[in-house]
Amino acid sequence: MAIDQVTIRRAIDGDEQALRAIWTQHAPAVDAVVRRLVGDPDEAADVAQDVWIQIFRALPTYRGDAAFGTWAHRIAVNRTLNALRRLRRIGRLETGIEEDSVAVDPDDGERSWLAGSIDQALTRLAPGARTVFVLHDVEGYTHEEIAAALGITSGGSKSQLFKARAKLRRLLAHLVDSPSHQGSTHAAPVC
Amino acid sequence: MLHLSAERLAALAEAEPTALEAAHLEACHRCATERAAHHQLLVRAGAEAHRISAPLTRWETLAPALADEGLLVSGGRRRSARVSRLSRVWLRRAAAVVVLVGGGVAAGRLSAGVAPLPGLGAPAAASAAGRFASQDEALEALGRAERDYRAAAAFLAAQSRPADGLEPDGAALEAYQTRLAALDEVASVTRAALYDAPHDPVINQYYLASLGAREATLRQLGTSLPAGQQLNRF
Repeated sequence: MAIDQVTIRRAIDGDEQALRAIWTQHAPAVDAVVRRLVGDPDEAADVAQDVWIQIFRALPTYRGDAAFGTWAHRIAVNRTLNALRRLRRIGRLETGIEEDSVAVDPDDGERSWLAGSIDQALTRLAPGARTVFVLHDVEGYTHEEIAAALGITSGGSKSQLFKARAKLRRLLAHLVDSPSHQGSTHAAPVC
Repeated sequence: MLHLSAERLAALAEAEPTALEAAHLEACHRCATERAAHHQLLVRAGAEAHRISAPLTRWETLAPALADEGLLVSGGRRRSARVSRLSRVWLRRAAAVVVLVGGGVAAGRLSAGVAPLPGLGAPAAASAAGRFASQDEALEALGRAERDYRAAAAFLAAQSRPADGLEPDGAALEAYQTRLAALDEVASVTRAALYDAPHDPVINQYYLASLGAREATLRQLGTSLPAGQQLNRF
């Protein structure tokens, strides 16, 4: 059910019932994107609370051009990325991917750890890789939008995305029902 | 046999392979399977955006934080109800003022020998029902009608005079000021009511009409001032 203008107006006036109605309807989706981006559940809860304060603070600027959920989602992504920068997570974007690449060897111990879900697998990614994967493959942002949001190039966003996918492929092997390839060699592209 | 790199296979989850890559995928079951697996993961990832789960936040902790920020007003519900009740009282009084103003406009038209404004009576439900194909169409017609109504009301207000036989100076100015005060009250009350009912067509109509009439009256007041005086504010 869409949030109507009367509820929004009452929420702007500070009416608790109206504020709670908006939170009840949209918290599952808003908090989910925060959790996917942040990873750690405790940190995600703190960030999500800050996101909701920002959503309600920005309520007078909501014009109804987009659906309320879409509008709140944009605020959630922006505020979460800001929080991750404050936590110096995204600052390690490039190095995070490089550290991640060290574990490309298929014989490392990680192959024995298989994630039960994409959410669980995401917690195993480096912060930068997780951010790019969530924004692109889950939330549908383009590489240009991701690059603008994270201060990287779109080429860098693609590179990190593909590395993140490759790692998730290993972590979720059992979910996609693909046989393992012991001794396989993945080298340079075939020319 | 060399295969496509893990990252290239990840890219091919949604990208089109080159001719050479396509030929390899045709011949290599392993790479073709990997590409299909990546595509499956991509589909699952997209579905994650719609997966509903329990929220991280709890209202019991969020509400006090909102109150600290001044975003949640304790007792706000009661205050809103009180404001709404006051607004309804003033709205009834303002409606009475508008009826008097509107009645004066109509009386002016009649005295000038002009036919009454068409469509003043409530439209028959049956005729209104078949006239519009959608709500959007009806709202568009209402918008046009409001613009015409405002323009016509402003024109008529500009044509009318506060009363016959009044001296053009002191008494006329006082009459204009009385009218402006009434119109300001109407505009203020209807504007407040629009916070609760922003799409109500009747409240919108009264609000816009009061603004149009106020503007016309200010212009008329400006032309009625004695020589050497000008209207600075009202």
